[in-house]
This record gives sequence, C-alpha cells and structure tokens, in this order.
Amino acid sequence: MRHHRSKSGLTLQYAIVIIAMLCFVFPIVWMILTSLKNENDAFTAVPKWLFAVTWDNYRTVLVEREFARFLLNSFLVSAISTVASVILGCGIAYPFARYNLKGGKNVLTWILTLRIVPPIVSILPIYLVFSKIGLLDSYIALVLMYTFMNLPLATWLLYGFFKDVPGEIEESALVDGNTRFTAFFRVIFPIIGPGLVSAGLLSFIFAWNEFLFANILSGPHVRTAPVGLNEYATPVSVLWGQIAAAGTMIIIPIAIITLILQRKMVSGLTMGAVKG
Amino acid sequence: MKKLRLARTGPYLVMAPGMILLLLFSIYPVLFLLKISFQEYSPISIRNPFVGFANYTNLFQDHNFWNALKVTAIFVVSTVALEFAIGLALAIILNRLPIGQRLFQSIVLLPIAMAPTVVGLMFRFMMNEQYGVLNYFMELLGFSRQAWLSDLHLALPALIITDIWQWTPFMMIILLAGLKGIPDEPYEAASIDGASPWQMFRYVTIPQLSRIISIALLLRTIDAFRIYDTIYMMTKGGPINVTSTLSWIVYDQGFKFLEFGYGAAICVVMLIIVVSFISLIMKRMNLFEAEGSR
Repeated sequence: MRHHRSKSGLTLQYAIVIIAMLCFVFPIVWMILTSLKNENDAFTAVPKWLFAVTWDNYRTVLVEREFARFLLNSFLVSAISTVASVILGCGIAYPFARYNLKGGKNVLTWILTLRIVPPIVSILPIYLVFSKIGLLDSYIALVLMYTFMNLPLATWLLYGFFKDVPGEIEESALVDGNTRFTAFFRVIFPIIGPGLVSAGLLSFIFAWNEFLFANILSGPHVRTAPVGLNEYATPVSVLWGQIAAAGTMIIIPIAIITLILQRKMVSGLTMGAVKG
Repeated sequence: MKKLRLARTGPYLVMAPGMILLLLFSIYPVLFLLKISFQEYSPISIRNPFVGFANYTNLFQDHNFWNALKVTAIFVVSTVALEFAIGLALAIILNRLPIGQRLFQSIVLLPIAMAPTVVGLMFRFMMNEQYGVLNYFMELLGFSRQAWLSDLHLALPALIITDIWQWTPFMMIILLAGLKGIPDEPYEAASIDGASPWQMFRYVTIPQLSRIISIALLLRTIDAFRIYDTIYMMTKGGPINVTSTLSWIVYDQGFKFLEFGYGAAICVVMLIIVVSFISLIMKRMNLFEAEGSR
C-alpha cells in the first residue's frame, strides 16, 4: 500500500484530510469567537468574522455568575478523585499482576464489565442512599462517585503496565534487602510511571467533563463547571455569549494537557489496547 | 510466622479499599434496583408497596418505552457504523500522507477531550434556526434553512451528527494506531501475488486490524448506548419524544415524575441488554490471551 503514489492522488488525499480537519476544528473556533463577541455581533444571520473583541462575557461569567467557584469545585473534585483512583487502582492491579491469585482473571473481567454499566443505572439507588445519609451536595459524594467511575479504567491500564515489569527486577531488589513495600516504590514505581500518567490523565478528564452524576448529586454548594454552564441556558433565555465563554474555560485546560500528553491519551482511551 | 502470614494476606490488604469501593457501588445499586423494580417506589412517599411484576407489565405496554428502545437502537447503530466508516477511511488516508500526520492527529484529539455538555450546547447554538451558523452554510450550498432541533425528522439526525463530530476522531486515532502496527511483509507478499488494492485491504488490512476494530466498536457501542449529556443540552428528549433514549426516560421517570420503581424496571432491562451484549462479545474475543500478543 506504500508504493506507486500518483501526484494527483496525493493532492486529493490532502484535500480530503484538510476538509475533515476543518470540520473538526470549526465548532471549537466558532465557540471561542462567539465568546469574544458582544450580543449584536453574536446573533447575525450572516456570521461576522471581523468584530471588536470584548472580554465582557468572561467578566460577567467569572465575577457576577460565580463561574470561578464552579471551576474550582470541578478542579478539586477531579484532582482528589484522580489521585484516589490511581492509588486504589495500583492497590488492585499490582497484586493481580504479581501473584497468581485464585480467580484473578474472573475478578479482573468483572472489574472491566463495570465500565460497561450505564451511569443512569447507578444513579437512582445512589441518589437515595446519599440523600438518606446526608451526602447530597457534598464534595465527598462526587469524589466517591468519580473514584468509582474511574477505578475500572485505572485498574486495567495499570494492570497492563505492571504485567510488563519483569519479576526478576523485583526479586533482585528484594535480595538487595528491600521489603516488598520499599521495592515497590524504588523499583517498580519508576517503570510504571507512564501507566500512572495515562490512568491519571484519563481519570481527570472524565471527572472534569462529567455531567450526569454532578447534575443530580450536587446542589448550590459543590456545583461543578459543566452543571454551572447549563444554568445559563434557561427555558426563558439562552445567554449564548456567556455559555461560549464558560464553555471555552471548561475546554481550554483539558485541551492543553491533551496536546502535551497525546500518546498517553491514546493508550488510555483504548484501555491499554494501544500502548502509549 | 508473622512474616509468612503477612505475605499471604498482604496482597488482599492492599487491594481491599479499592475492591470494597467497587463492590459497594456496583452490587448494592443493582440489588436495590431489582428490589424497587417490584415496588411502587417514590423517594417522597413513606409507604412503598410491593406490586409484583406490575412495573414490568406496564413497561411492556408503554409505547414510550418501545419508542426509547427504537430511538436508542437507531442512535447506537447509526453513530457507531458511521463513525467507524469515516474513521477508517480517514485513518487509511492519513496513514499514507508523507507529512502532516502528527499535526492532524493532534487536531483530532480535541473533540474527544471536550465535555459533552459543552459540545451539546455548542451544536445547539450552531443549529439554531435564525442565527445558527449551520443554516448559513446550508444556504451557501444551496439548501434551505432548517429548524434542526425542533423538526420531528431532523432532531435525531442532528444528535447523531453531533456524536459523529465528537467521536469519529476516537475511531480514527485507534484505527491509525492499529494500521501503524501492521508489518510490511504481508503487503509485500500480497503484491508479489498480484493482489489488487481492494484485495490487500480486504485480505491483509482488515484481518490484521480485527482485534483493534473489535475493541473500538465495543467501546463506542457502550458509550453510545448511555447517551445522555448531549440530549440534555440539545433536545431534552423532544420534540415530542423523537430523541428520548432509554437513559433519558429513566431520568424523566426518576427525577421528573419521581417514579423510581418504574425507572428501576427500565434500568433492569437496560442492564440485561448490556450484559447479554457484552457476554456475547467477550466470548468471541478472549481478553487475556490477546494480552501477550499486542
């Protein structure tokens, strides 16, 4: 497939790819442009490509509408649940990868199937339990929920990485006078670094973007950014300029870390089927 | 002695916190759902009488349920099929480009990383009848303006287009990674045998990619089946019920009508669908044996 490549064929291929890429980029660019327009420029039948840039939407959203607090909530909940998922994920993945535990494969398969359960199925019972024990609208509720949500993915990714660490490395560390515990941190930890980054990155993105659980479990105190965003779209009026500004602020941090950690992202998205 | 005991219990101690969390949040909800699916259950009432199979028999007579099943099926099949077809085509083309591959790959990661809520609102804005930019492009291309999200025939396709925009890149990236992993030899052997490009694609590329294709299709099917965020932002199940998926009617029953028992019955049906689908797939692809050969 890598031979005879005609010049016109290549031009056609570039044309197709470039058109496709424009389609993928345009909505994002359009949102960012909208966030920088005033109301008159944003709502026109013929799109305005040149306009006077204004930061009013950002100012309104951040100062008057508490969006800064929602972003902070999102960050706290995502960061804490990410750390928890990675630590607990190591706890499960490491023993299964290192020891021949009875029924290990069945347990791992079961953990994988948890990724498959639609979130709407868990939310009815969990809403009832959390409301009974007074956890609604608390950081703990969302952190627990997101840790549970990301743990299967983290476990599977890390299991793949632990499996690739040769047993001899650890054995020789033990001979050198390490305990299992210190051997883990001195020898294995550095090797599975990429796995930790993959699992952490994906857990963070999924928690940051999550809406269903946040919408139902959070109230005025721990509202996350995706839920706060939805508040600017009321049945009466939809404040598109502010939505565009808030939406841009939600995607910018994720876009940056995604571009920096591209290959980790790909391996995470496929649950380790493609190595990063 | 003590050391020996620790060596034996150690692994279990380390995994205990994670396993407990997983068990608590998965087993309990399922058991609880099963129980209340036989009750007339509402979070605000004190008596929640058992009603036998009433929720289920009502469910099977409820045209909203059958409609949701149909909408979900259409959504899942059309998004996954189109995303796969477009994704594969783009991956193959991209894989042959001498320069620009990495740049295009980076661009395409952006939709994947975006919050579906943001994507939903963004597309709702672009699909607005009066000032939406999509209608502007439609007119440029000689088509007429459409009320995308309030038209009975266009609302579901509009959701499908949105999903294709966000998730085709996912297919493309996975398949591209797969294509890069195919060695040159089978192609060389095939070209010595005088195979046409189509035969090479059919008998070399596809078989070599089969494992990665199944993983990509599986993951996308699972995620398309649970579609909720974009519906919430774009159509709220409407107009009438043409975009009401299974997830959406559970949400409606639970948090709008507070009919948790009825909602639970729908959840149980959803679980049965997913579990049977997955066990069918899992039987065909052995996860652990393939592990070593990637």
